[in-house]
Amino acid sequence: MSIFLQHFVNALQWGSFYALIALGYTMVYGVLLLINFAHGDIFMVGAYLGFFIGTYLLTTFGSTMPSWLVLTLTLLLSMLLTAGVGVTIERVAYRPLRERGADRLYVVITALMVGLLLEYLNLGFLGARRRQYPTLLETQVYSIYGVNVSNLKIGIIGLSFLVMIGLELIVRKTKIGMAMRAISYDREAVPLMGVPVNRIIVATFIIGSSLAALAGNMFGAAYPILTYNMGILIGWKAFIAAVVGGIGEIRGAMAGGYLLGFIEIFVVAMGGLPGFGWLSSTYRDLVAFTILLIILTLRPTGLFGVARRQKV
Amino acid sequence: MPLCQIRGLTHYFGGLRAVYDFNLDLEEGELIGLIGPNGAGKTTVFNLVCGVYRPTEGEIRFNGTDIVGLRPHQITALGIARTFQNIRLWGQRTVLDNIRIAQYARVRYGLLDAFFHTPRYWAEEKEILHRSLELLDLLDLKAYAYEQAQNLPYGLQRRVEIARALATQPRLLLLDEPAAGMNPAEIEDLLDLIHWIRDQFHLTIWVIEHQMRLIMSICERIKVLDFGETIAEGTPAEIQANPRVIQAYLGEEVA
Amino acid sequence: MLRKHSRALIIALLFLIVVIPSWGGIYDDYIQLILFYIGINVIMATSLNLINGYMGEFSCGHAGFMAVGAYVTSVITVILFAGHPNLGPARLSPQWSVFVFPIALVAGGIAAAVAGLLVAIPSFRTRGDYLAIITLAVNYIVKSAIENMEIIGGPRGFVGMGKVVNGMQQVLNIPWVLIWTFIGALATIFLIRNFVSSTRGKSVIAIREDEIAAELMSVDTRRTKVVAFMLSSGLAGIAGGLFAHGPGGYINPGTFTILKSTEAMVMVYMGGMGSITGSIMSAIIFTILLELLRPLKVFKWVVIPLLLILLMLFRPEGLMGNRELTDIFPRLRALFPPSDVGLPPQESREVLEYAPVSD
Repeated sequence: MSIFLQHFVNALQWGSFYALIALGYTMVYGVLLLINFAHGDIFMVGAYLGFFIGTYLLTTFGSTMPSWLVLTLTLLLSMLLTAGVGVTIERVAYRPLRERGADRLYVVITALMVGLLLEYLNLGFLGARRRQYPTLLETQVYSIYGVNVSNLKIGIIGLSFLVMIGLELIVRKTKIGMAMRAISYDREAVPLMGVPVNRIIVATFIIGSSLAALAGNMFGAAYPILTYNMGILIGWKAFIAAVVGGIGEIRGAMAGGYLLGFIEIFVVAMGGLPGFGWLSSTYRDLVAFTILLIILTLRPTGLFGVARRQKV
Repeated sequence: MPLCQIRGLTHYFGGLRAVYDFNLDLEEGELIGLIGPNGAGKTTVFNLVCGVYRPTEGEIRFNGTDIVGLRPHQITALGIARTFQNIRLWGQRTVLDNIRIAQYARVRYGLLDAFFHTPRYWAEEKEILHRSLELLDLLDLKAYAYEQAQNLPYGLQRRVEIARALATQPRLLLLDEPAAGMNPAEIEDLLDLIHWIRDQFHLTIWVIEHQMRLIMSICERIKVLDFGETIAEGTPAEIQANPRVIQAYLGEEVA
Repeated sequence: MLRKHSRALIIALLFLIVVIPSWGGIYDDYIQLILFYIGINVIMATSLNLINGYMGEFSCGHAGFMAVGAYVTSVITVILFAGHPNLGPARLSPQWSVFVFPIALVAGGIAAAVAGLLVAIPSFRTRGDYLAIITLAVNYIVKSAIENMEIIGGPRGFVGMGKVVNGMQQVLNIPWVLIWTFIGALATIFLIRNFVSSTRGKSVIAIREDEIAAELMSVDTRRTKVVAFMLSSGLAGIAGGLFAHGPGGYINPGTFTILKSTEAMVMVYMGGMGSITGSIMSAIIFTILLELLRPLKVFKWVVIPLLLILLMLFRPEGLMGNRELTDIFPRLRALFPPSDVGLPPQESREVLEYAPVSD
């Protein structure tokens, strides 16, 4: 039982990473109908920015500043800067295409290329050396009913929940959130109603990128080795989560993220059971992608997506 | 025996009843009209007959075969072709290619012939080309054979769509608002064209149309739909005099 | 006269330019390597163009099919002629590989074509973005599956193809793999050009422009998709089989990632969607460009995405759009036999005339 709970907590942690990144994919898709393939690399950028800011703060003010302030500043600053990167990409690469009325396909290719660009700019300028994310929080492990839970895990899971509740509120209650939903509901009418579409798009990129940065910092805190390509696989998987949940659906992204987290952790856990020894952890990615394939074949619009009938 | 027999055709979109208990016998060579206010379910009836949607209930027999559940291309190959409310030509292809691709079901050569361009391939492609040009010539479209379909004026695009439907060699032709967006002179031409193709190709034709002038002057029998249900059926004169039809079109006050 | 024999002429010319100097030692290993990569890339780009260009889908997992072909072909040749620590000693004398190699290539192509069904079947109900994800997932699944197969080396890769190539060269010392690569490239161009110019194959383009209209105008869209995906992935598999027998004789799953798929996409979009000559030209340009950028090391992969981003901004239709070289220079048509009976009249007047049926 305690083993089960242990896996449960781990699944919640991984699910949080996936869900936070998946939200960025799904929101951009909802507003722009664009798969922002660069989003996984935005996660990487967020983690690296956190690394630089955190390290700088620790080495410069480490003795004078309380650690909670360092942590908060690192998170906020890296989220802010990453949001800037996201908005810049939108401004420089996506918007010109959109304004020219280019085929959606070209924007998707551009997004894919922006992702590659971010990875290899990182590799080129920072080198292949792995970076160690600074310890911003002294880890303490509590044992509850035989389940080991660190303050870090609690923080990650708790903060993710808070952020997601906040996002729900933004999307449901604020003017800009309602405009986002309106655009994904009816792309043609909303601009005619006087909604400033470009401002909504910028807001979407700000929210999506800062959530990815938050996930990047959390990931760095939990698994402190940073590499230039750390965003690729986790980004794709978050994307799977978004698609499984029905891309464009905000709640779907959250549900999909946690679902994927649970599936993966339990595939790995199964490997520890007698008779399943062959199911090593290397099968994790295989299983995740196979699930995606099956779900999309059976339910082409994802679990929460609504099929839009094409008019004949 | 009628060419096409529709019995109890009913279709729901989720909870919305789009078509309810639709019955129709189409006799060989008939020219039948289907009218009704916007959203009455006319195009849905066409989509059900063509296999775009599978009916919730009901039976459609074409030429003795039950066609419910067949895929659209199979139904087309059996002899039902259609045009679309909003033109759906393959715009970047030439007019000639539009006509040729519509003969897909009649291509007899195999994949290997297509890959290696065997003598059999050439012989059959020449036959297809010949048939296509002949059809274009009959419909006065030969001059546009090498134009991109999207570059033609609207009226001609409608004509190409009819030609493309004819290229599948149908026995039943469904025309979905063929006069939409046409001016009176073009409608006059269309009237002649519809009569002429029926006689030339020995077709049964079923038209959805809002242009009363067109429908009243060419159809022998008219069915009227409102909210998915048949509210009237008869000759043009009967329909024009039917109070329920007038009510459906003009609203409650008139009744 | 010229037109009738142009095919033979082109092949002869290619042999003159590519194969014979390589054989005679006029080209050094480096130039031969670049020629080899050009051939592979022509196959990859042209075959992907069938899906991403002609059919208008967005397949971003082409390298997955290349991997299937690479592994299947190599496992066959290595089991038979080279031997492998996990697979036992060689069964046949290496000289026989001269005959078996092309068969193994085709087998690899068939295996990759079957893998193509993984994408073709979902494509019945899904298009656009969702299908793109599926192709990507298939790429990962293939790579991940190979990494989990210890018997063929898992993530460490698979070796032994060098011995197979040596075996062929013992029989006759000519650049076998390079020759087969060029035959493969020519066959790819030939097959795809033939297919998309036939009435049957044009249905692929009809699906791009309006799938519902295609289905309602009697095109069996499912069958068409299966054929297109299997042809495309099968050819990528052959490219993989050839690639595995290149210099070094070594492959590992890490070669066939999304980066490799991206290369193929870059070539298609750079050349122009739906243009075979565009794909050929961009495969040549891209391969040479990669070599020229080699001194940049990692920054090569900064320059290439940047190039494509600029291309999307300023010339999204690529080098050729959907035109062929023969559309821009109609005179070239004199060199090639027509692939389509229904060309505009000035090019093939003789077939346009038809006798009206007498009533």
